[in-house]
Amino acid sequence: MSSDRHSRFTATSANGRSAESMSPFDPTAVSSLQQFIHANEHRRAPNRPDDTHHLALQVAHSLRFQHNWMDVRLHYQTNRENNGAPGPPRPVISGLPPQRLYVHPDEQIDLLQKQRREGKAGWPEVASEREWVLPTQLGETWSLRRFGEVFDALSTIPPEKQGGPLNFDVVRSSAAGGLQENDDTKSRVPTPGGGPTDGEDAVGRMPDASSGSDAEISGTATETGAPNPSTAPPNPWRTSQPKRMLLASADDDSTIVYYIIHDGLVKPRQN
Amino acid sequence: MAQLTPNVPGIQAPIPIFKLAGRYMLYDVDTITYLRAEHNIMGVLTGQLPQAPQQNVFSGIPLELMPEEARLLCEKGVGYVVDDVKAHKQGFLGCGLSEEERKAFRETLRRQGQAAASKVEEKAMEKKKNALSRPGSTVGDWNDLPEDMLRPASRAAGKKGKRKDRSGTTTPAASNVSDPLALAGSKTNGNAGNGSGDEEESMFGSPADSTSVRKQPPRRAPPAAAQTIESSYPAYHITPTTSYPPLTVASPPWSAPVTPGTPTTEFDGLRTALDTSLSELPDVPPSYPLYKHMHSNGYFQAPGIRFGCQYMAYPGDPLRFHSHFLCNGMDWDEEFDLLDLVAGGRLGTGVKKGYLIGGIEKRGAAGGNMDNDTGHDERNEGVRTFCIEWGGM
Repeated sequence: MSSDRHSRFTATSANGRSAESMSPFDPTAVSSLQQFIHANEHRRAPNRPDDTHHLALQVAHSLRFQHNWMDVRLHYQTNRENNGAPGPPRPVISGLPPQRLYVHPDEQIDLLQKQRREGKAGWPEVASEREWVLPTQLGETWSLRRFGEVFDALSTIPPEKQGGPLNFDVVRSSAAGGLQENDDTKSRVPTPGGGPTDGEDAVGRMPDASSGSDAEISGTATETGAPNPSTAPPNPWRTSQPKRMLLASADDDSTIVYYIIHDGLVKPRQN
Repeated sequence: MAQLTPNVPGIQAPIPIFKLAGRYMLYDVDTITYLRAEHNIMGVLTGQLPQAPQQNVFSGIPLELMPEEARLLCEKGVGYVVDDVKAHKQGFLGCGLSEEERKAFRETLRRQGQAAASKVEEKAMEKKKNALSRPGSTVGDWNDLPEDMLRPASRAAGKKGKRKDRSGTTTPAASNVSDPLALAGSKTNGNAGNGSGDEEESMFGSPADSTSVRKQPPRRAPPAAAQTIESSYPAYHITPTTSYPPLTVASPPWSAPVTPGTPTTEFDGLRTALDTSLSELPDVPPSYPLYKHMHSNGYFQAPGIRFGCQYMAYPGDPLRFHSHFLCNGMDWDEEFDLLDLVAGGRLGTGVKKGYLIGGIEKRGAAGGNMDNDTGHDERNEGVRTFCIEWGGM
């Protein structure tokens, strides 16, 4: 536990409390983000550094609880068609935003024209699309080569049931209080010694309020009531465009800002 | 390629690009139009407009090209660089022009100056006549001359205005007075550009002509007398706007000229002809590969200093479109701060543009292919670009 505190990307606590705070409450209490990091230590692939792992977890925490993303997963390998391609140089995250995150300007025109043809007004309902997220820290230096390497390792559309699901339950149960729940969740986490999980471990946990934290370890994940983009055919606008990913840059004050990067020439949106 | 403007003038290709004080300039309007219509090269107009000199919102020729634009034109064989200072020295001071050519040139300038002067005088006469022909000109403005001053006998009665001595503007050749009169008489309809602006100055005094026979040219000739014969308006000194009718431009460094219609690939056989004169290709910053890549995709690019980037890329002619991208080219392995990327992305999103970075992609390991002598490796791996915009969440 103390080792993470000294790692380069240790986040400040989500609720403002640190273990050395002067709170009259339990002085050994850990912030919810720290608990989350503890609970997902095992997700780190072997021989991979701690700092990028913790950074990725911090970003995942923000995506899930600040931005309400669903099915947030951590990937050390991305299983591209050409299996000879090296994995991403650092762990990447994939997830489903609550609303559609990116609409290409031409697609926007197309959708509006379709609306007009059908006699409707305003913006139509569009299904949300799964996105890749690259966690970074704002003080880093990058180069074009490194961005190229990351893009080369990503598929155009993040796959639905691959990668390592993260244990988000620990965060909610910590609100109820106590480290006891922590132990429970640890025992429930599948394959604690496993490193990168690629499709075999197909436990798609949907940290949905209704499903709670029951141990639903099954071969296939059933998605309950959430918008189901996996059954729909992939959006032709998505497959014909260059790849994109979100660059999440974490600052020292624990704010994370997200930028969309395209691998190619894509005209800007008219915001 | 579809021609958007049917009136693109034909030009003599390849185009000389004049290098002066480290800048690449073009002086011919037809050339500038051709480059914009056919080659997506914009440049920046840097000249002053004589109609509106005290502003710089609208500028005129000459057009200044970015070094990247000049180099692209040279590589394509559409243009070539001419050292302007050397060309002028050689042309005017050296043996560029023969004595007869120089004389003829000077004569042309002098005649133009005299035509301008006579035109001015004619206008002044016209105005005078109109003023005088009005009966009872009490409604004229106070600047008009009182009538008693116009009688020839009382010429000595005061001269209004100050005299401006223009002793510096002697015409090169000896100006005999009879010659301009004959010319002036035949060129009353000549259109001299200086006529309108100089009307005011002729009211205040005539420029002194040091080689003229008469020392004190009268300000006003007798109105009804022969208007042009006694003309004392000396020829104006004309500065030509281009020195290339008397001078001839040096021929391009390669032998076969390129016709404007043929499509040129970037690295066709002309490159070998240019290899010997590679030192004449303009020096460009390391963002040049990105410039070339965007240009080959049909973008117009303007200097991007307004937005803190290297180029602003327009998807078409800038008169029709806003720019789409703020471009920064860099080396494939060049390290940059993520904060700079973030700043560029935020700025771009704020002005409805995308922030674009790119460079030539090198497939080898970092630090491996450091030698750029094997140019073919670089060329085969094109430029890879990334566009950044704010995520909105």
